[in-house]
Amino acid sequence: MKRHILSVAVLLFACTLVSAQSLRGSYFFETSPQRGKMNAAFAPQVNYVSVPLLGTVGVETWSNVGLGHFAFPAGGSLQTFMHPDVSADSFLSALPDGDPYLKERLEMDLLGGGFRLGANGYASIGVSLLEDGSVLVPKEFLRFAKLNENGSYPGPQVSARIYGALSLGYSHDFGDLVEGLRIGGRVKLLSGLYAGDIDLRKLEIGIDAELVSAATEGEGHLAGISWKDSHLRADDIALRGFAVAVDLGVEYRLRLDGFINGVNLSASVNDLGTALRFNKGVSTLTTGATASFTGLQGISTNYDFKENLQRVIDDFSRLTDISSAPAESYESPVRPSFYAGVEVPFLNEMISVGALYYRTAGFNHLMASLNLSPLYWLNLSVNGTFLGPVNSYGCYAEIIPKNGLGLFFGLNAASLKTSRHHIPINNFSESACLGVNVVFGGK
Amino acid sequence: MKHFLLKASGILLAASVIGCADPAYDIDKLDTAAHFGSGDINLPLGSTDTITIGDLIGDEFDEWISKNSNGTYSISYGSDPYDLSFSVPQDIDRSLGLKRYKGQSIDVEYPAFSRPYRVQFDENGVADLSGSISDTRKIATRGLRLPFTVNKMPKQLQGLSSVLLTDDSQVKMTFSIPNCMLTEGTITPDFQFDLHELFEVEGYPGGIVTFKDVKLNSSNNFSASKILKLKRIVIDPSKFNREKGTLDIDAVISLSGNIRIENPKTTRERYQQASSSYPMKVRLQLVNVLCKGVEGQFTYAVDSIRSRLKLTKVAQKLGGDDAPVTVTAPELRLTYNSNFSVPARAVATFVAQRDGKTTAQVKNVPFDLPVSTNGATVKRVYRFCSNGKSAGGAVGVKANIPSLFKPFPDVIYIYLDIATDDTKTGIVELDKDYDLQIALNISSPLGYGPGLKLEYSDSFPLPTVFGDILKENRLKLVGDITNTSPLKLGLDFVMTDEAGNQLTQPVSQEIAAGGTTPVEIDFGGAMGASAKSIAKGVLILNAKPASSGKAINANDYIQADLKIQVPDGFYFSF
Repeated sequence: MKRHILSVAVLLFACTLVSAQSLRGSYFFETSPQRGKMNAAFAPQVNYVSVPLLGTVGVETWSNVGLGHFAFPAGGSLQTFMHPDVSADSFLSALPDGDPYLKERLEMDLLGGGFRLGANGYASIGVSLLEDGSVLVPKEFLRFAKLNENGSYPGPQVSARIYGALSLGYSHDFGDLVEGLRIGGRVKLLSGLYAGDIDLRKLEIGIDAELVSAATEGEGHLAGISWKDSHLRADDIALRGFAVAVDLGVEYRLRLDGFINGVNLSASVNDLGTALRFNKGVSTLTTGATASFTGLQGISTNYDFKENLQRVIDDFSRLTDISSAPAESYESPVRPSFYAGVEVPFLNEMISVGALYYRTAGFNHLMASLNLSPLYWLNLSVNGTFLGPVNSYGCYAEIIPKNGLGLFFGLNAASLKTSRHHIPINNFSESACLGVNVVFGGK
Repeated sequence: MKHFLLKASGILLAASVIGCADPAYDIDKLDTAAHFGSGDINLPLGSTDTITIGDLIGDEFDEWISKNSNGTYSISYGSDPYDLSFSVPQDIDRSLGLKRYKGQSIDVEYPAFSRPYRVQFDENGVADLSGSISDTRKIATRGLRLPFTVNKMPKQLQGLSSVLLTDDSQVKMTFSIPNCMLTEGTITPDFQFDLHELFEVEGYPGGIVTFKDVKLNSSNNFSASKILKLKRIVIDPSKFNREKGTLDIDAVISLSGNIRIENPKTTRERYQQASSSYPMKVRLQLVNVLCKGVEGQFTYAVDSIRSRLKLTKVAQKLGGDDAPVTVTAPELRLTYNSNFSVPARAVATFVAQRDGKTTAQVKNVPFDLPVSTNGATVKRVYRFCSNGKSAGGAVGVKANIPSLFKPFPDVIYIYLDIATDDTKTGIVELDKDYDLQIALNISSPLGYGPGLKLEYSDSFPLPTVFGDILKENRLKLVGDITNTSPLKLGLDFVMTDEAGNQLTQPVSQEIAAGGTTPVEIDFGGAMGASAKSIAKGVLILNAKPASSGKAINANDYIQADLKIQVPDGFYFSF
């Protein structure tokens, strides 16, 4: 046993170094407590209490671009896209169709647990801390950076938020009515802690021999964060926003005799609710200025170059000035996600293959998974995810005894090709999760 | 089976998670060179004010330099006036040979009326004689000869037109009928006294004097006089003997006309004592007929006048081959003041000297002098210049004055010979002192001299971004520089560090005179690390005249409209 555990631990450790696996790798393991996060109908075969702060820790980041879109090896060095030897065509044609972005999400269970409730029910409760953020850089903006053509361009968008979630879930086995049917739901109370976004909507640049001009226009919001003296400063932690959301799920397990042990169908919709409305400590950010330079005028024998040049520099510096004003409220959208899965177990359910369609953050994904449960207490899977912004591959490992300490670890990665410093070279999706739960009452 | 699956799971897991690091993507080898701009980048730099020549010269000059309203500069430097007084010889016979008539009178009589034989008296004893005495009696025309000779006429007198008499020269004419029998009535000597051959009489241009205004009656005891003011003696020029200096006059004056009697009355007593006839006596007396002057043609020369214009101070500034400023069209102005009433001509000779040696001369420049008509001082300004044109009230006299300024002298002498014009009539008054004052002045627009070395240098701080750009970029200043002055300009620009150490080779640009020059100042290729030290730009402006002698105009200006050109875009590192 120890030898097996050690082997898996080594593999998991290796995973942390080189690649990834997602929490979604747990979707098809019926003993896993984590899968309930994706479908409220799922009820694990154990009761569990999460270890505070370590019940689930998940990090996910993805982007439709990688280092290879912006840096190009040449002659033993790595040239940026701004390098004069990198042609505009080779840079621009390699960019994705959409605007390049980088998104990330972090989830941490502070407390949580699940337990059977009656003969057919399973209840869960959790308190989580979530953070997500994104940076979007319009292709047109990058086109300007490379070609430097006069015109009007959309500028980058940046957003981030931190909020807490209190969730109460219940899943019920409706096998009495329809064999293999299980339906569940979860209510979430979301409370905003910090949020901020800014959208530089317009950046106008004109450079010619007679006139250098620039204009900016942008707007943003802050909640729980102050903008003072050109610096962001986090206010004390407090509940500043509120939203209500529900998760709904259904599972249907069709049992078959033979090599194939059955077909499991499931679907869910999560985070169906209101936008996260911040109404305390909210301020709006505005940026917008115009600056032009037609040349230093009236240069004479006593002309003060330093002062007049500084005046020009000051004018253009105002383009990036951001002003802040108190606001009543600020709404940050909560996007629903949707899951639909099908699983076919065989060899006494030690092996299964599954397909999971899910839509999160505006993207569609299709994950194919090979799931192994060679031992009762061990779940392993490898999976590949298609559609979406990037194809990715992942693995998942979980030790889940009937009673004792349950561990899980998942990684997912889109690209195995990285730089020496582990920066994905192509578009990527990286996620990792781990957790420690005390399980008990396993059947 | 389980064992197999366990192993297979491990292999799959490992295969899925073990990625490969591409050594080509090594951030440590990131080349941070970057480029901005798809071609030449042109940026506005700025425009200068119009830097005028006046700005460069300033407003402080010697007092003899002035700035004109049109922006030009000129000098006006003068000498102290030179005064001369002279008079004509005084030994002329001022009494004009009329001395023998002085105190004597010329008396003539004309019959006026006779006592009537039969007179009818009224009850008061008064008789009206209107019917007894003719009211008009014609007198016989009588000529009077007044011969005299004027001696010691001025020997300079070439011809004589008239002799001017003093203001108190006069003839007194007295008419009287002594012991006239009339007690009432008026007797008028309606005479024409023809003096035109001898005198010009004030109030009688034709020289014929009438006496209708003279009335003889009982209140003036039938005696009245009339004073005739004499202005000049009219002479026959042929009577003037220039050799002897004498003038013989033998003029005839004549008296003619009528005697008119109106309302004559007498009394019995007077009638009984009356003579048989009553003549009218006419007495002519010459009073103070003295010569004041003569009008005629003279040959007279004033001693040669020499005046000088010291230009030492001016020469120090404007003279020499290395003078930055010089005169462009010098002219000499002679201011002449005199009350001399004889037409005269002057001949000027200008002599320029430097260090005591004559460097140039302009000889024998003739010009006419003005004539005082009433004894008052007349003023005339002469403008001696190369074109001889009159200007500004000054009478132009053509003379090659610019030749006097090659080289620039430290003194200019003017020799002025004045001589009367004996072809023209003038007046010489015997008691008059004639004054003559001349003053010499040089005036000229100022122009750029052959030795002009105008250099203007200024340093100004450069922003650090300038060094950042030059570190990896070639930079050019392009644009236009307008230079309306006649100066060819040289523009040098260097960049220094904070301590003033030169970091770049000077870049130079020539700017043509009188137009707009496209400029392209190339600061050269990328400077590398030394560009980071750039702190100041030093601009040196050199000027030299396109051709010496062009006029300086304070309104001429230099104005630059410059742009920065970064050929092939910005190269930078981050």
